[in-house]
Amino acid sequence: MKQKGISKRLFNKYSIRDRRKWPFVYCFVAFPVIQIAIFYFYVNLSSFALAFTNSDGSAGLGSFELVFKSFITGEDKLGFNPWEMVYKSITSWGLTQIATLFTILSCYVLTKHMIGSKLFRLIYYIPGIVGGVVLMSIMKETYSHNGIWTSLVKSLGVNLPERALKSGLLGAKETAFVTIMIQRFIYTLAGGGMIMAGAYMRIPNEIFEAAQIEGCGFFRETFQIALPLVWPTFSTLTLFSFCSILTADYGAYIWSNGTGRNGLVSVGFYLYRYQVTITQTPVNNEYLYGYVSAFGMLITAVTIPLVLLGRWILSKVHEDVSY
Amino acid sequence: MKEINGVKIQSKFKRALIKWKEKSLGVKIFLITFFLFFLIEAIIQLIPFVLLLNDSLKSFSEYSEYGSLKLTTGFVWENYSRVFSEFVVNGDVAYFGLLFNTLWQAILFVIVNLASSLMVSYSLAKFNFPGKGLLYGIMIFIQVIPIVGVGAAAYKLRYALGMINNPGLLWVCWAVGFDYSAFVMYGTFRGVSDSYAESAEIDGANELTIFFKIMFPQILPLALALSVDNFIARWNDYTTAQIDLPNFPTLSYGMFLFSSNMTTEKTVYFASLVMAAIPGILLYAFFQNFIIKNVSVGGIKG
Repeated sequence: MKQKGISKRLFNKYSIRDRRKWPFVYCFVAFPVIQIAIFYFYVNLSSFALAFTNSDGSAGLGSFELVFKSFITGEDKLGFNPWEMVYKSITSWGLTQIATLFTILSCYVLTKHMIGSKLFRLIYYIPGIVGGVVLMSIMKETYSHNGIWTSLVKSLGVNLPERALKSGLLGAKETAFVTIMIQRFIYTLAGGGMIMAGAYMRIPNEIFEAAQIEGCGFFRETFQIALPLVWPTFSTLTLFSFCSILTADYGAYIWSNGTGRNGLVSVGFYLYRYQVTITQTPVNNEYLYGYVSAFGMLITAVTIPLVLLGRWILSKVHEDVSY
Repeated sequence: MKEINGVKIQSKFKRALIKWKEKSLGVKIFLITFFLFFLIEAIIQLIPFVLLLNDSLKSFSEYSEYGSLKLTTGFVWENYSRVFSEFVVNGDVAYFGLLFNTLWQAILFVIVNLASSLMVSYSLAKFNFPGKGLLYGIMIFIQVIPIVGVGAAAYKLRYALGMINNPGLLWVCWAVGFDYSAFVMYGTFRGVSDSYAESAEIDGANELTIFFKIMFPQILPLALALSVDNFIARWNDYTTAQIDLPNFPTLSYGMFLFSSNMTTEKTVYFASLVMAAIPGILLYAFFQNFIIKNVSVGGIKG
C-alpha cells in the first residue's frame, strides 16, 4: 500500500506531456546506457575483481602485495621503478599547470588585442593538430646529436654528458626528461589555452565598449572584467586537470619508442606498457592483469581525494564553478 | 577611406592605428612585450616543421653529410613519391592502405561517438523522466572522477567478446555517450529554446522529426566543431591500432613502428611525416574560428 503511494507520488511529479514522451526517451538513451553499463561499469567492476586476484587465479591480496613490493624495492617485474613514474607524472602535471596559469592572460591579449592573432593561434595549435607520433618524430630530429636544439645548447656552452653529445639530448638520462619538460612548458605557454581562447571570443565586445565609455583603462578591463568572466571556464579546466594529477602523460611511450629508455617514463606510460605486454604475450603474463588493476586502483584511491580537494579549493576562490 | 551611403568607413587597419595611438605608454609597452613573446614562441614552434620540410626535400647523401642545418639544394620531390612504395607496415600495408585505415576509423569513430553523445545530451537536456538525475550524475562522475588502470580489464572484455581485429563489433566501444562531447552538448541543448519544438509538436510532428529537423540543426555548429576535434584526435591515435586493431594499422601507428624500425632512407621518412601532418593542419586552418567559438566549457556561452 505504502509502496503504491510512493510510486504514485513519483508518477505525479511528471506532467502528462512528460509521461507521453517516456517511450521515446528510454528508446533514445537505451543504447548509450547499455554501452556505459558494459564498457564502463562492468569494466570497472571487473578491474576491481582482477585487483583482488592472485597470480594463481584465487581471490586474495597477491596483486597488491606485488604492487607494494615494487614500491618498496623500487623495481617491478618489467624492471621499472614505480616511484619514478609517479614523480615524473606529477612534475609534468605541475609544469603544465604553471604554464596554463599564464595562458589566462596570454590568451586574452592574443584573442582581443593582438594583430595577426589568427596566424599565431594556428601556429601554436599545429603541435596539437599533428598529434603525438608525428610531432615527437619531428622533435626527435631537432634533439638528435646534430639537431638544431642540441647544437644551440652546445653553442651556449652547456656542459653536456658524453652520451648526449653522441646521441643527442634524448640520448642521456640526465638530459632527456629535462629537455622534454622544457619543450612542454614553452609550448603550453602559448598554445595551452584553446578553450580559454574560445571563452574570451564569446565575451560580447559590447561589454568592453561599455567599460571604455565609462573610462575603464586597459589593465582594469583585463584584470577586472575579462579575467573574472572566464574564471568559471578556467576553474572547470583546472578541476578536470586534477583528474590527471598522477597520470599526466607527456608522451613518454612515443618519446622512448615504448622502452622507457633514459628515464622517459610516466604512470600513463607504465600502465600502457603493461597493457601492450599483456596483449602481445598474453599466455605467460596473465598475472599482470591483476598487477595493473591493483596499481590503477591504488592511483585512483590517491587521486580521488586530490580531485575533491581541488574542487573545494576552487569553490573557495570563486563560487561560480559551473558545469 | 570608403564611403557607403554618404557615411565614411575607415579601414580595419586605420581603425587599429587610431586605437593604438590612443593607448598609454604603459599599455603599449605591455602589448609590445606580448607581441615579441608571441613572435618568439611562433618561431620556436615553426622551426622544427620548417626543418622537416627542408629535410624531406634533400637527397639522402646531402642529409647524411650536412644534417638538418643547411638549406636543401636539390628539391628531391622523389622522396614523396617513394613514400607510397617504401612506407610499408606489417609486411603488406603500404601508405594508401594506412591512409584508408586511418580515414575509415576516424570517420566511424566520429559518427558513432557523435550519435551516442547526442542521444544522451538531448534526452538529459530536454526531457523529464525517472532516472534523469542518475544519468546526469553518471555523466558528471565520469568526467570528474578519474579511474585508472582499467585498460587490462577492458582489453580482457573486448577479447572475450571477439572485438579484437573486428571493427564490425569494436565500434560499440567507441560509441561512448557519456563523454566530454555529451557534456558540452548538454549545456548547449539546454540553451536552445523549446518554442519551435512545441509549435512543431502542435502541428503533429513526432519526436524524431523534432529532433532531426528542429533541435539538431540548432546545435549543428557545435556538433561539427566537436566532430572536427574528434576526427583530428582519432587521425593521430596510434593506441587503438596497436592494441585492438593490429591488422588495420593506421598512419600514426605506421609512423610509430617505422620510427622504431626504419627500413627506408630518413629523407623518405621525413616526407611521410609531412604527408601525415598536412590533412590535420589544413582541416584546422579552415575550421579554426569555428572550433574555438563553438567548444565551450564552464560558464560562458555566448
